[in-house]
Amino acid sequence: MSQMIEFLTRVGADSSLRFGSGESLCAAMDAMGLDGEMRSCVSAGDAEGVRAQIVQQSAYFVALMPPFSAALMPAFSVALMAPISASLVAPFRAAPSDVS
Amino acid sequence: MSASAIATRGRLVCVGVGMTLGSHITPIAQSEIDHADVVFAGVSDAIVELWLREMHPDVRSLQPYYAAGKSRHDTYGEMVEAILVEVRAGKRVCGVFYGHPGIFALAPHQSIELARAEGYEARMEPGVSSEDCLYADLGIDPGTFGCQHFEATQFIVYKRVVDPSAWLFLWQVGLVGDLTLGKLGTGPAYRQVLVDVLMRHYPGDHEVIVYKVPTLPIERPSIRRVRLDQLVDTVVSTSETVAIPPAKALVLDPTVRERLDALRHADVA
Ligand SMILES: C[S@@+](CC[C@H](N)C(=O)[O-])C[C@H]1O[C@@H](n2cnc3c(N)ncnc32)[C@H](O)[C@@H]1O
Repeated sequence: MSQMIEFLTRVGADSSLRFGSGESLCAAMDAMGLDGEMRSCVSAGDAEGVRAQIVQQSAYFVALMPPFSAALMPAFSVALMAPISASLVAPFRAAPSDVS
Repeated sequence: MSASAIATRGRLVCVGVGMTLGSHITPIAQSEIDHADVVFAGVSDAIVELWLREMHPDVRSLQPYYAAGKSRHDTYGEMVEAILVEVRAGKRVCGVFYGHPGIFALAPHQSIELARAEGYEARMEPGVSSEDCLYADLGIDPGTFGCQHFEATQFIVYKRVVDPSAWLFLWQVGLVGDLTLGKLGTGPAYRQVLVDVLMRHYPGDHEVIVYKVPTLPIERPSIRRVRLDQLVDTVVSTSETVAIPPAKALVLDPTVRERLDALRHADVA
């Protein structure tokens, strides 16, 4: 597995591997002894296939931001919008009590 | 403060590792990871997290703080607290986030703010964001017509001033309209609300672009062009950004133009 990570790191950092004709990618896979399904997935640019062979949990959460302040939750109502919009300059700062 | 007390004083740096494994990490981010006592990982791909684990022996994933049905407000608060616990314990802490750690990302900003408020040294190092990749892959210069960026749900729940002569970029469209902050994604009924809001400013046949930059270097960017009214039936993942090209020409402001002409004629410096 760590060999595969090393391989991906090399591909990411080397334009001839990442954007080249494919021959240099094949040569790099040969040098690493990469064969079978992993080789097919890499050649096909099938990231899901690569993930399926390396990690168990392939879907990761990516959201890192709420659309509005915690003060609106859980009940969203128009009445609550005025105080929230007044804090537009720093809209998503939770009050200290929000960070428990 | 004694030298040993200073040496054990916690500090925090939040860095971005960019979007694509191996391609975007900056030397300063690498150095912060190398020198950290503890690394927190807020990345978007399990393989990217493994890559970090190859770099550092103590990488703590922020993924377990998420859960279906749990408000992300709680998730983000817990992330900030987990990071701060280690800073307060005197550790040199590195928060590693995908893309740019300060773009559409609450926990990095908040943990830095809180650490500083508690007297700790804390800073952010920029990274290559999905926005940067979008400009490169779609051939867009944000300066040509100007641009607006909004979080998709915020865009629809608040009345925003939309400029259809500029580019409009919508983030987190995959979660648009989720007021619980606990859904894993939202479907066509929610996208219909978004499309209805957008159609106040753009015609239904206006082309929009659904864009995804690869997180693994073996992939190519995904660029899907659909009519605005087809966006309802277009599944948009949480890892995609929607780019809406300008629909109207720029309109000159004659008053400003006259004032500038007068200055030019008067040869004012
Ligand atoms: C919470 S924001 C984090 C953005 C991140 N800090 C950055 O610098 O790109 C998540 C949103 O970023 C955008 N995003 C994340 N990954 C992406 C990708 N691989 N391609 C395109 N956009 C992406 C999407 O709009 C997604 O909903």
